[in-house]
Amino acid sequence: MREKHRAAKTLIWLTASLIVLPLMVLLVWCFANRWAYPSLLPENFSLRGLEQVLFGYHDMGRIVGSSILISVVAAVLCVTASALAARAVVFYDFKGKRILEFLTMIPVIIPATVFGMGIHMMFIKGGLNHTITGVILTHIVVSLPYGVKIMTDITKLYGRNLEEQAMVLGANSWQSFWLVGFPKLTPGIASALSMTFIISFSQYFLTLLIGGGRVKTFSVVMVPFIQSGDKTIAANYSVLFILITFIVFLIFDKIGKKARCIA
Amino acid sequence: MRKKITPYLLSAPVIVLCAILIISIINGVIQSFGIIPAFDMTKPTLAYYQEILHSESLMESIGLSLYLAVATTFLALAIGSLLCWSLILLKKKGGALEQILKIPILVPHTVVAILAINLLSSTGLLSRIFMTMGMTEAAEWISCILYTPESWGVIMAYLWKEIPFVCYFIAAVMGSIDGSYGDAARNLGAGKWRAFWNVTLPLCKPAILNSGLIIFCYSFGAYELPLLLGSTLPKALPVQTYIEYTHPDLTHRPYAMALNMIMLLICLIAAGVYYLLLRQKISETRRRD
Repeated sequence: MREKHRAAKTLIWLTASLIVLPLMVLLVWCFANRWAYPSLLPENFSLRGLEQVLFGYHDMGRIVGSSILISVVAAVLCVTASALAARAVVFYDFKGKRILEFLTMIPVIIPATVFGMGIHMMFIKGGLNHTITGVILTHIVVSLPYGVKIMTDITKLYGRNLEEQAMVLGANSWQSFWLVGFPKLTPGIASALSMTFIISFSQYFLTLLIGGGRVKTFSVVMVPFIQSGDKTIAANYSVLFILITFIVFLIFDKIGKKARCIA
Repeated sequence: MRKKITPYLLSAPVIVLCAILIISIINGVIQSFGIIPAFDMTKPTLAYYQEILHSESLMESIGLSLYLAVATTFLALAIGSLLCWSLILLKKKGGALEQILKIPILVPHTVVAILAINLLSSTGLLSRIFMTMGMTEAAEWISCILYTPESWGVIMAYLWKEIPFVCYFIAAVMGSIDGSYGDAARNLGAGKWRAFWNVTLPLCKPAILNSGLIIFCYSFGAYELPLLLGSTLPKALPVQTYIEYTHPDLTHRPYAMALNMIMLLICLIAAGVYYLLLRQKISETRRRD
Protein backbone atom coordinates (compact mmCIF):
# COMPACT_ATOMS: atom_id res chain seq x y z
CA MET A 1 0.00 0.00 0.00
CA ARG A 2 2.88 2.37 0.84
CA GLU A 3 4.29 1.82 -2.65
CA LYS A 4 1.50 3.88 -4.16
CA HIS A 5 2.88 7.09 -2.79
CA ARG A 6 6.50 6.37 -3.59
CA ALA A 7 6.90 9.28 -6.01
CA ALA A 8 5.32 11.70 -3.57
CA LYS A 9 7.54 10.52 -0.75
CA THR A 10 10.64 10.80 -2.92
CA LEU A 11 9.78 14.34 -3.91
CA ILE A 12 9.23 15.43 -0.33
CA TRP A 13 12.43 13.81 0.93
CA LEU A 14 14.41 15.22 -2.00
CA THR A 15 13.13 18.72 -1.33
CA ALA A 16 13.77 18.44 2.39
CA SER A 17 17.35 17.26 1.81
CA LEU A 18 17.99 20.04 -0.67
CA ILE A 19 16.83 22.47 1.98
CA VAL A 20 18.84 21.00 4.83
CA LEU A 21 22.08 20.26 2.96
CA PRO A 22 23.06 23.87 2.13
CA LEU A 23 22.24 24.90 5.70
CA MET A 24 24.51 22.22 7.11
CA VAL A 25 27.30 23.31 4.78
CA LEU A 26 26.73 26.85 6.06
CA LEU A 27 27.07 25.63 9.62
CA VAL A 28 30.37 23.91 8.84
CA TRP A 29 31.66 27.10 7.21
CA CYS A 30 30.86 28.93 10.44
CA PHE A 31 33.53 27.08 12.30
CA ALA A 32 36.00 26.46 9.51
CA ASN A 33 39.31 28.19 9.67
CA ARG A 34 41.10 26.95 6.61
CA TRP A 35 39.07 25.03 4.07
CA ALA A 36 41.13 25.01 0.92
CA TYR A 37 39.89 23.66 -2.39
CA PRO A 38 39.43 20.79 -3.14
CA SER A 39 39.28 19.20 0.30
CA LEU A 40 35.94 17.85 1.39
CA LEU A 41 36.40 18.90 4.99
CA PRO A 42 38.01 21.91 6.57
CA GLU A 43 41.64 21.51 7.56
CA ASN A 44 41.15 23.15 10.89
CA PHE A 45 38.38 24.77 12.83
CA SER A 46 38.26 27.92 14.84
CA LEU A 47 35.91 30.38 16.37
CA ARG A 48 37.40 33.36 14.56
CA GLY A 49 34.30 33.86 12.48
CA LEU A 50 32.12 33.90 15.54
CA GLU A 51 34.45 36.32 17.32
CA GLN A 52 34.59 38.64 14.34
CA VAL A 53 30.83 38.77 14.06
CA LEU A 54 30.15 39.22 17.74
CA PHE A 55 33.03 41.50 18.67
CA GLY A 56 34.78 42.57 15.48
CA TYR A 57 32.50 45.33 14.29
CA HIS A 58 32.42 47.62 17.28
CA ASP A 59 28.93 48.75 16.47
CA MET A 60 27.51 45.30 15.78
CA GLY A 61 25.30 44.97 18.82
CA ARG A 62 23.80 48.39 18.22
CA ILE A 63 23.25 47.68 14.52
CA VAL A 64 21.55 44.38 15.18
CA GLY A 65 19.41 45.94 17.89
CA SER A 66 18.32 48.87 15.77
CA SER A 67 17.64 46.62 12.77
CA ILE A 68 15.33 44.47 14.86
CA LEU A 69 13.64 47.57 16.23
CA ILE A 70 13.17 49.07 12.77
CA SER A 71 11.61 45.89 11.45
CA VAL A 72 9.40 45.42 14.50
CA VAL A 73 8.10 48.97 14.17
CA ALA A 74 7.54 48.49 10.45
CA ALA A 75 5.71 45.22 11.11
CA VAL A 76 3.48 46.65 13.84
CA LEU A 77 2.55 49.72 11.80
CA CYS A 78 1.93 47.67 8.66
CA VAL A 79 -0.26 45.14 10.45
CA THR A 80 -2.22 47.88 12.22
CA ALA A 81 -2.94 49.64 8.95
CA SER A 82 -3.78 46.30 7.31
CA ALA A 83 -6.10 45.25 10.12
CA LEU A 84 -8.03 48.51 9.92
CA ALA A 85 -8.35 48.30 6.16
CA ALA A 86 -9.32 44.62 6.36
CA ARG A 87 -12.10 45.53 8.77
CA ALA A 88 -13.32 48.21 6.38
CA VAL A 89 -13.31 45.88 3.39
CA VAL A 90 -14.94 42.91 5.12
CA PHE A 91 -17.55 44.66 7.27
CA TYR A 92 -18.63 47.53 5.07
CA ASP A 93 -19.82 48.13 1.55
CA PHE A 94 -18.60 51.45 0.28
CA LYS A 95 -17.78 53.22 -2.91
CA GLY A 96 -14.22 52.59 -4.00
CA LYS A 97 -13.98 49.29 -2.14
CA ARG A 98 -12.93 47.45 -5.30
CA ILE A 99 -10.31 50.08 -6.04
CA LEU A 100 -8.92 49.76 -2.53
CA GLU A 101 -8.66 46.00 -2.84
CA PHE A 102 -6.82 46.42 -6.13
CA LEU A 103 -4.53 49.14 -4.75
CA THR A 104 -3.37 47.01 -1.85
CA MET A 105 -2.21 44.31 -4.24
CA ILE A 106 -0.15 46.65 -6.40
CA PRO A 107 3.07 46.54 -4.31
CA VAL A 108 3.26 42.88 -5.30
CA ILE A 109 3.37 43.76 -8.99
CA ILE A 110 5.66 46.75 -8.76
CA PRO A 111 9.28 45.77 -8.14
CA ALA A 112 10.90 47.30 -5.09
CA THR A 113 13.60 48.73 -7.36
CA VAL A 114 11.06 50.67 -9.41
CA PHE A 115 9.35 51.91 -6.25
CA GLY A 116 12.58 52.89 -4.55
CA MET A 117 14.10 54.77 -7.46
CA GLY A 118 10.77 56.45 -8.13
CA ILE A 119 10.23 57.72 -4.61
CA HIS A 120 13.84 58.60 -3.87
CA MET A 121 13.72 62.19 -5.08
CA MET A 122 10.46 62.87 -3.26
CA PHE A 123 12.00 61.59 -0.06
CA ILE A 124 15.02 63.81 -0.58
CA LYS A 125 12.77 66.84 -1.01
CA GLY A 126 10.65 65.79 1.95
CA GLY A 127 13.63 65.34 4.20
CA LEU A 128 12.95 61.63 4.58
CA ASN A 129 16.05 60.50 2.74
CA HIS A 130 18.72 58.89 4.92
CA THR A 131 16.29 58.70 7.82
CA ILE A 132 14.93 55.76 9.72
CA THR A 133 11.40 57.05 9.14
CA GLY A 134 11.90 56.96 5.39
CA VAL A 135 13.29 53.45 5.52
CA ILE A 136 10.45 52.20 7.72
CA LEU A 137 7.92 53.82 5.38
CA THR A 138 9.26 52.00 2.35
CA HIS A 139 9.34 48.70 4.24
CA ILE A 140 5.69 49.14 5.20
CA VAL A 141 4.63 49.84 1.62
CA VAL A 142 6.39 46.73 0.34
CA SER A 143 4.89 44.45 3.04
CA LEU A 144 1.39 45.88 2.70
CA PRO A 145 -0.05 43.23 0.33
CA TYR A 146 0.97 40.40 2.65
CA GLY A 147 -0.37 42.15 5.73
CA VAL A 148 -3.66 43.01 4.06
CA LYS A 149 -4.13 39.54 2.62
CA ILE A 150 -3.53 37.78 5.95
CA MET A 151 -5.70 40.20 7.92
CA THR A 152 -8.51 40.11 5.34
CA ASP A 153 -8.49 36.32 5.38
CA ILE A 154 -8.77 36.10 9.14
CA THR A 155 -11.31 38.91 9.40
CA LYS A 156 -13.46 37.17 6.79
CA LEU A 157 -13.14 33.92 8.67
CA TYR A 158 -14.75 35.23 11.85
CA GLY A 159 -16.83 37.99 10.35
CA ARG A 160 -18.83 40.19 12.60
CA ASN A 161 -21.25 37.60 13.92
CA LEU A 162 -19.60 37.22 17.29
CA GLU A 163 -19.28 40.96 17.76
CA GLU A 164 -22.91 41.52 16.84
CA GLN A 165 -23.98 38.84 19.28
CA ALA A 166 -21.98 40.52 22.01
CA MET A 167 -23.67 43.82 21.21
CA VAL A 168 -27.08 42.17 21.29
CA LEU A 169 -26.18 40.90 24.73
CA GLY A 170 -25.43 44.43 25.87
CA ALA A 171 -21.77 45.19 25.19
CA ASN A 172 -20.98 48.54 23.60
CA SER A 173 -19.16 48.57 20.28
CA TRP A 174 -15.69 49.04 21.83
CA GLN A 175 -16.16 46.19 24.30
CA SER A 176 -17.51 43.88 21.66
CA PHE A 177 -14.50 44.59 19.48
CA TRP A 178 -11.77 44.46 22.11
CA LEU A 179 -13.09 41.58 24.20
CA VAL A 180 -14.72 39.44 21.54
CA GLY A 181 -13.65 40.31 18.00
CA PHE A 182 -10.00 41.19 18.55
CA PRO A 183 -8.92 37.99 20.36
CA LYS A 184 -10.24 35.98 17.44
CA LEU A 185 -7.89 37.88 15.15
CA THR A 186 -4.72 37.19 17.13
CA PRO A 187 -3.51 34.15 15.15
CA GLY A 188 -3.77 36.23 11.98
CA ILE A 189 -2.07 39.17 13.66
CA ALA A 190 0.82 36.98 14.82
CA SER A 191 1.17 35.50 11.35
CA ALA A 192 1.04 38.91 9.69
CA LEU A 193 3.57 40.35 12.15
CA SER A 194 6.00 37.52 11.45
CA MET A 195 5.61 37.82 7.70
CA THR A 196 6.02 41.60 7.58
CA PHE A 197 8.93 41.45 10.03
CA ILE A 198 10.78 39.03 7.76
CA ILE A 199 10.12 41.13 4.69
CA SER A 200 11.40 44.25 6.42
CA PHE A 201 14.39 42.59 8.08
CA SER A 202 15.46 41.02 4.78
CA GLN A 203 15.18 44.22 2.75
CA TYR A 204 18.42 45.17 1.11
CA PHE A 205 17.81 47.40 -1.88
CA LEU A 206 15.33 49.80 -0.30
CA THR A 207 17.37 50.22 2.87
CA LEU A 208 20.48 50.73 0.79
CA LEU A 209 18.89 53.34 -1.46
CA ILE A 210 16.78 55.27 1.02
CA GLY A 211 19.00 54.76 4.04
CA GLY A 212 22.14 55.68 2.19
CA GLY A 213 25.05 54.92 4.43
CA ARG A 214 23.30 56.46 7.42
CA VAL A 215 20.69 53.84 8.26
CA LYS A 216 22.59 50.62 8.79
CA THR A 217 20.56 47.50 9.06
CA PHE A 218 21.87 44.01 9.51
CA SER A 219 20.90 43.04 5.97
CA VAL A 220 22.81 45.91 4.43
CA VAL A 221 25.90 45.43 6.60
CA MET A 222 25.96 41.73 5.75
CA VAL A 223 26.15 41.99 1.96
CA PRO A 224 29.75 43.23 1.61
CA PHE A 225 30.84 40.25 3.68
CA ILE A 226 28.97 37.95 1.29
CA GLN A 227 30.68 39.58 -1.67
CA SER A 228 34.08 39.55 0.01
CA GLY A 229 34.87 35.89 -0.42
CA ASP A 230 35.61 35.26 3.24
CA LYS A 231 33.11 32.47 3.56
CA THR A 232 33.70 31.92 7.27
CA ILE A 233 32.58 35.39 8.24
CA ALA A 234 29.73 35.44 5.75
CA ALA A 235 28.53 32.12 7.18
CA ASN A 236 28.56 33.45 10.74
CA TYR A 237 26.57 36.52 9.76
CA SER A 238 24.08 34.38 7.88
CA VAL A 239 23.51 32.00 10.75
CA LEU A 240 23.10 34.94 13.13
CA PHE A 241 20.52 36.42 10.75
CA ILE A 242 18.53 33.21 10.54
CA LEU A 243 18.66 32.77 14.32
CA ILE A 244 17.34 36.27 14.95
CA THR A 245 14.51 35.81 12.44
CA PHE A 246 13.61 32.47 13.99
CA ILE A 247 13.57 33.87 17.53
CA VAL A 248 11.40 36.83 16.57
CA PHE A 249 9.09 34.41 14.75
CA LEU A 250 8.77 32.34 17.94
CA ILE A 251 8.14 35.43 20.07
CA PHE A 252 5.32 36.65 17.82
CA ASP A 253 3.86 33.18 17.82
CA LYS A 254 3.92 32.97 21.63
CA ILE A 255 2.40 36.44 22.00
CA GLY A 256 -0.33 35.45 19.60
CA LYS A 257 -1.16 32.34 21.59
CA LYS A 258 -1.06 34.22 24.91
CA ALA A 259 -3.25 37.06 23.71
CA ARG A 260 -5.83 34.57 22.57
CA CYS A 261 -5.88 32.77 25.91
CA ILE A 262 -6.14 35.89 28.02
CA ALA A 263 -9.34 36.92 26.32
CA MET B 1 -25.97 53.08 13.45
CA ARG B 2 -22.71 52.98 11.64
CA LYS B 3 -21.42 56.30 10.35
CA LYS B 4 -20.89 56.34 6.62
CA ILE B 5 -17.41 57.70 7.05
CA THR B 6 -16.11 54.80 9.15
CA PRO B 7 -14.80 52.57 6.36
CA TYR B 8 -12.97 55.50 4.84
CA LEU B 9 -11.38 56.37 8.17
CA LEU B 10 -10.38 52.76 8.66
CA SER B 11 -8.81 52.56 5.23
CA ALA B 12 -7.04 55.91 5.51
CA PRO B 13 -3.59 54.62 6.57
CA VAL B 14 -3.53 52.06 3.76
CA ILE B 15 -4.70 54.65 1.26
CA VAL B 16 -1.89 56.99 2.27
CA LEU B 17 0.67 54.20 1.88
CA CYS B 18 -0.67 53.25 -1.55
CA ALA B 19 -0.55 56.93 -2.49
CA ILE B 20 3.18 56.92 -1.81
CA LEU B 21 3.51 54.01 -4.21
CA ILE B 22 1.44 55.73 -6.90
CA ILE B 23 3.53 58.87 -6.50
CA SER B 24 6.69 56.86 -7.09
CA ILE B 25 5.27 55.58 -10.38
CA ILE B 26 4.12 59.01 -11.53
CA ASN B 27 7.53 60.38 -10.63
CA GLY B 28 9.17 57.61 -12.58
CA VAL B 29 7.06 58.26 -15.66
CA ILE B 30 7.74 61.98 -15.60
CA GLN B 31 11.46 61.54 -15.13
CA SER B 32 11.65 58.90 -17.85
CA PHE B 33 10.47 61.50 -20.34
CA GLY B 34 13.42 63.64 -19.39
CA ILE B 35 11.62 66.10 -17.12
CA ILE B 36 13.75 66.65 -14.03
CA PRO B 37 13.44 70.29 -12.92
CA ALA B 38 16.08 69.84 -10.27
CA PHE B 39 18.67 69.17 -12.97
CA ASP B 40 17.36 71.87 -15.32
CA MET B 41 15.80 69.33 -17.67
CA THR B 42 12.35 70.53 -18.63
CA LYS B 43 11.62 69.35 -22.16
CA PRO B 44 9.69 66.09 -22.53
CA THR B 45 11.34 63.69 -24.94
CA LEU B 46 11.18 60.10 -26.05
CA ALA B 47 14.91 60.07 -26.75
CA TYR B 48 15.78 57.98 -23.71
CA TYR B 49 13.32 55.24 -24.59
CA GLN B 50 14.54 55.25 -28.18
CA GLU B 51 18.14 54.88 -27.13
CA ILE B 52 17.29 51.96 -24.90
CA LEU B 53 15.37 50.17 -27.64
CA HIS B 54 18.37 50.62 -29.93
CA SER B 55 20.96 49.60 -27.38
CA GLU B 56 21.85 45.95 -27.85
CA SER B 57 23.27 45.52 -24.37
CA LEU B 58 20.22 47.00 -22.65
CA MET B 59 17.83 44.91 -24.73
CA GLU B 60 19.89 41.88 -23.74
CA SER B 61 19.42 42.83 -20.08
CA ILE B 62 15.68 42.99 -20.56
CA GLY B 63 15.72 39.63 -22.31
CA LEU B 64 17.80 38.07 -19.57
CA SER B 65 15.46 39.22 -16.82
CA LEU B 66 12.44 38.01 -18.79
CA TYR B 67 14.05 34.60 -19.27
CA LEU B 68 14.88 34.47 -15.56
CA ALA B 69 11.35 35.36 -14.51
CA VAL B 70 9.63 32.95 -16.91
CA ALA B 71 11.90 30.02 -16.07
CA THR B 72 11.65 30.59 -12.32
CA THR B 73 7.87 31.02 -12.38
CA PHE B 74 7.25 27.96 -14.52
CA LEU B 75 9.52 25.68 -12.49
CA ALA B 76 8.34 27.01 -9.14
CA LEU B 77 4.66 26.53 -10.02
CA ALA B 78 5.19 23.05 -11.47
CA ILE B 79 7.36 21.67 -8.67
CA GLY B 80 5.54 23.61 -5.95
CA SER B 81 2.13 22.24 -6.98
CA LEU B 82 3.47 18.69 -7.15
CA LEU B 83 5.11 19.13 -3.76
CA CYS B 84 1.89 20.47 -2.25
CA TRP B 85 -0.08 17.57 -3.66
CA SER B 86 2.52 15.09 -2.37
CA LEU B 87 2.11 16.51 1.12
CA ILE B 88 -1.66 16.18 0.86
CA LEU B 89 -1.41 12.60 -0.41
CA LEU B 90 0.72 11.59 2.52
CA LYS B 91 -1.59 13.43 4.91
CA LYS B 92 1.24 14.33 7.25
CA LYS B 93 0.11 17.03 9.64
CA GLY B 94 2.76 19.22 11.21
CA GLY B 95 5.46 16.63 11.01
CA ALA B 96 9.16 17.44 11.09
CA LEU B 97 9.27 17.26 7.28
CA GLU B 98 6.62 19.94 6.99
CA GLN B 99 8.55 22.22 9.33
CA ILE B 100 11.72 21.71 7.30
CA LEU B 101 9.88 22.79 4.17
CA LYS B 102 8.98 26.04 5.92
CA ILE B 103 12.59 26.97 6.70
CA PRO B 104 13.33 28.78 3.41
CA ILE B 105 10.69 31.36 4.36
CA LEU B 106 12.94 32.48 7.22
CA VAL B 107 16.02 32.81 5.06
CA PRO B 108 16.56 36.11 3.24
CA HIS B 109 17.63 36.13 -0.39
CA THR B 110 21.06 37.48 0.50
CA VAL B 111 21.75 34.40 2.62
CA VAL B 112 20.41 32.14 -0.12
CA ALA B 113 23.12 33.67 -2.30
CA ILE B 114 25.75 32.51 0.17
CA LEU B 115 24.21 29.03 0.25
CA ALA B 116 24.40 28.87 -3.53
CA ILE B 117 28.00 30.09 -3.59
CA ASN B 118 29.00 27.54 -0.97
CA LEU B 119 27.59 24.70 -3.04
CA LEU B 120 27.70 25.72 -6.67
CA SER B 121 30.69 27.98 -7.18
CA SER B 122 33.85 26.66 -8.80
CA THR B 123 35.31 26.12 -5.34
CA GLY B 124 32.02 25.01 -3.86
CA LEU B 125 31.06 21.71 -2.32
CA LEU B 126 29.73 20.14 -5.53
CA SER B 127 32.96 20.90 -7.33
CA ARG B 128 35.01 19.49 -4.45
CA ILE B 129 32.97 16.29 -4.51
CA PHE B 130 33.61 15.91 -8.24
CA MET B 131 37.33 16.53 -7.78
CA THR B 132 37.54 14.00 -4.98
CA MET B 133 35.87 11.44 -7.23
CA GLY B 134 38.34 12.30 -9.97
CA MET B 135 35.75 13.75 -12.36
CA THR B 136 37.68 16.84 -13.41
CA GLU B 137 35.56 17.74 -16.46
CA ALA B 138 32.48 17.69 -14.26
CA ALA B 139 34.25 20.10 -11.93
CA GLU B 140 34.89 22.42 -14.88
CA TRP B 141 31.27 22.23 -15.92
CA ILE B 142 30.35 23.62 -12.51
CA SER B 143 31.82 26.98 -13.45
CA CYS B 144 28.89 27.35 -15.87
CA ILE B 145 26.34 27.53 -13.08
CA LEU B 146 27.03 30.87 -11.46
CA TYR B 147 27.66 34.24 -13.05
CA THR B 148 26.69 33.11 -16.57
CA PRO B 149 23.81 34.32 -18.77
CA GLU B 150 22.15 30.92 -18.44
CA SER B 151 21.70 31.95 -14.80
CA TRP B 152 21.28 28.44 -13.44
CA GLY B 153 22.57 29.59 -10.08
CA VAL B 154 20.10 32.45 -9.82
CA ILE B 155 17.20 30.25 -10.91
CA MET B 156 18.09 27.53 -8.40
CA ALA B 157 18.49 30.10 -5.65
CA TYR B 158 15.07 31.59 -6.44
CA LEU B 159 13.53 28.12 -6.57
CA TRP B 160 14.97 27.29 -3.14
CA LYS B 161 12.69 29.95 -1.70
CA GLU B 162 9.82 30.01 -4.18
CA ILE B 163 8.95 26.30 -4.23
CA PRO B 164 8.12 26.26 -0.50
CA PHE B 165 6.33 29.60 -1.02
CA VAL B 166 4.05 28.17 -3.73
CA CYS B 167 3.55 25.04 -1.68
CA TYR B 168 2.26 26.95 1.35
CA PHE B 169 0.41 29.57 -0.66
CA ILE B 170 -1.82 26.98 -2.31
CA ALA B 171 -1.82 24.46 0.57
CA ALA B 172 -5.15 25.50 2.08
CA VAL B 173 -6.95 25.69 -1.27
CA MET B 174 -5.53 22.46 -2.65
CA GLY B 175 -6.18 20.68 0.61
CA SER B 176 -9.86 21.48 0.66
CA ILE B 177 -10.38 20.88 -3.07
CA ASP B 178 -8.54 17.59 -3.03
CA GLY B 179 -10.46 16.56 0.04
CA SER B 180 -13.79 17.20 -1.65
CA TYR B 181 -13.66 17.08 -5.44
CA GLY B 182 -10.45 15.08 -5.68
CA ASP B 183 -11.87 12.48 -3.35
CA ALA B 184 -15.10 12.40 -5.34
CA ALA B 185 -13.17 11.79 -8.55
CA ARG B 186 -11.16 8.99 -6.98
CA ASN B 187 -14.35 7.46 -5.61
CA LEU B 188 -15.79 7.42 -9.11
CA GLY B 189 -12.80 5.44 -10.31
CA ALA B 190 -10.22 7.98 -11.48
CA GLY B 191 -6.61 7.08 -10.76
CA LYS B 192 -4.91 9.43 -8.32
CA TRP B 193 -2.82 11.08 -11.01
CA ARG B 194 -5.89 11.58 -13.26
CA ALA B 195 -7.83 13.02 -10.35
CA PHE B 196 -5.01 15.45 -9.68
CA TRP B 197 -4.47 16.52 -13.28
CA ASN B 198 -8.11 16.76 -14.40
CA VAL B 199 -9.90 17.78 -11.22
CA THR B 200 -7.77 19.15 -8.37
CA LEU B 201 -5.25 21.13 -10.41
CA PRO B 202 -7.72 23.03 -12.63
CA LEU B 203 -9.80 23.97 -9.60
CA CYS B 204 -6.70 25.36 -7.90
CA LYS B 205 -5.85 27.50 -10.94
CA PRO B 206 -6.75 30.88 -9.31
CA ALA B 207 -4.46 30.31 -6.34
CA ILE B 208 -1.70 28.91 -8.53
CA LEU B 209 -1.95 31.81 -10.98
CA ASN B 210 -1.93 34.27 -8.09
CA SER B 211 1.28 32.86 -6.66
CA GLY B 212 2.68 32.71 -10.19
CA LEU B 213 2.11 36.43 -10.67
CA ILE B 214 3.82 37.21 -7.36
CA ILE B 215 6.82 35.06 -8.27
CA PHE B 216 7.07 36.44 -11.81
CA CYS B 217 7.10 40.05 -10.72
CA TYR B 218 9.50 39.33 -7.89
CA SER B 219 12.05 37.33 -9.88
CA PHE B 220 11.82 39.89 -12.68
CA GLY B 221 12.44 42.95 -10.58
CA ALA B 222 14.49 41.84 -7.59
CA TYR B 223 17.97 43.15 -7.06
CA GLU B 224 19.78 41.02 -4.49
CA LEU B 225 20.18 37.64 -6.19
CA PRO B 226 21.18 38.81 -9.67
CA LEU B 227 23.67 41.15 -8.01
CA LEU B 228 25.32 38.42 -5.96
CA LEU B 229 24.97 35.39 -8.24
CA GLY B 230 23.93 36.63 -11.60
CA SER B 231 25.38 37.03 -15.02
CA THR B 232 27.98 39.75 -15.36
CA LEU B 233 27.29 40.32 -19.04
CA PRO B 234 24.53 41.05 -19.75
CA LYS B 235 23.51 42.12 -16.27
CA ALA B 236 19.98 41.51 -15.09
CA LEU B 237 17.68 44.48 -15.62
CA PRO B 238 17.32 45.68 -12.00
CA VAL B 239 21.09 45.54 -11.50
CA GLN B 240 21.73 47.42 -14.75
CA THR B 241 19.05 49.96 -13.85
CA TYR B 242 20.64 50.75 -10.50
CA ILE B 243 24.02 51.16 -12.19
CA GLU B 244 22.45 53.72 -14.53
CA TYR B 245 20.73 55.37 -11.56
CA THR B 246 23.97 55.88 -9.68
CA HIS B 247 25.79 57.19 -12.75
CA PRO B 248 28.02 60.13 -11.78
CA ASP B 249 26.48 62.20 -14.59
CA LEU B 250 23.12 63.17 -13.13
CA THR B 251 21.62 63.96 -16.53
CA HIS B 252 21.91 60.22 -17.13
CA ARG B 253 19.06 59.74 -14.66
CA PRO B 254 16.23 59.49 -17.24
CA TYR B 255 17.85 56.34 -18.67
CA ALA B 256 17.41 54.63 -15.32
CA MET B 257 13.84 55.85 -15.01
CA ALA B 258 13.00 54.74 -18.55
CA LEU B 259 14.38 51.28 -17.72
CA ASN B 260 12.29 51.32 -14.56
CA MET B 261 9.17 52.13 -16.57
CA ILE B 262 9.91 49.31 -19.00
CA MET B 263 10.22 46.98 -16.00
CA LEU B 264 6.91 48.27 -14.71
CA LEU B 265 5.25 47.83 -18.09
CA ILE B 266 6.34 44.20 -18.31
CA CYS B 267 5.05 43.52 -14.80
CA LEU B 268 1.74 45.18 -15.68
CA ILE B 269 1.48 43.02 -18.80
CA ALA B 270 2.08 39.98 -16.60
CA ALA B 271 -0.74 41.17 -14.33
CA GLY B 272 -2.94 41.61 -17.38
CA VAL B 273 -2.17 38.07 -18.54
CA TYR B 274 -3.03 36.88 -15.02
CA TYR B 275 -6.45 38.55 -15.13
CA LEU B 276 -7.11 37.20 -18.62
CA LEU B 277 -6.24 33.67 -17.56
CA LEU B 278 -8.44 34.00 -14.48
CA ARG B 279 -11.39 35.23 -16.49
CA GLN B 280 -10.89 32.47 -19.05
CA LYS B 281 -11.35 29.82 -16.38
CA ILE B 282 -14.73 31.20 -15.37
CA SER B 283 -16.05 31.48 -18.91
CA GLU B 284 -14.89 27.96 -19.70
CA THR B 285 -16.83 26.45 -16.86
CA ARG B 286 -19.91 28.49 -17.82
CA ARG B 287 -19.82 27.13 -21.35
CA ARG B 288 -19.75 23.57 -20.10
CA ASP B 289 -22.97 24.15 -18.20
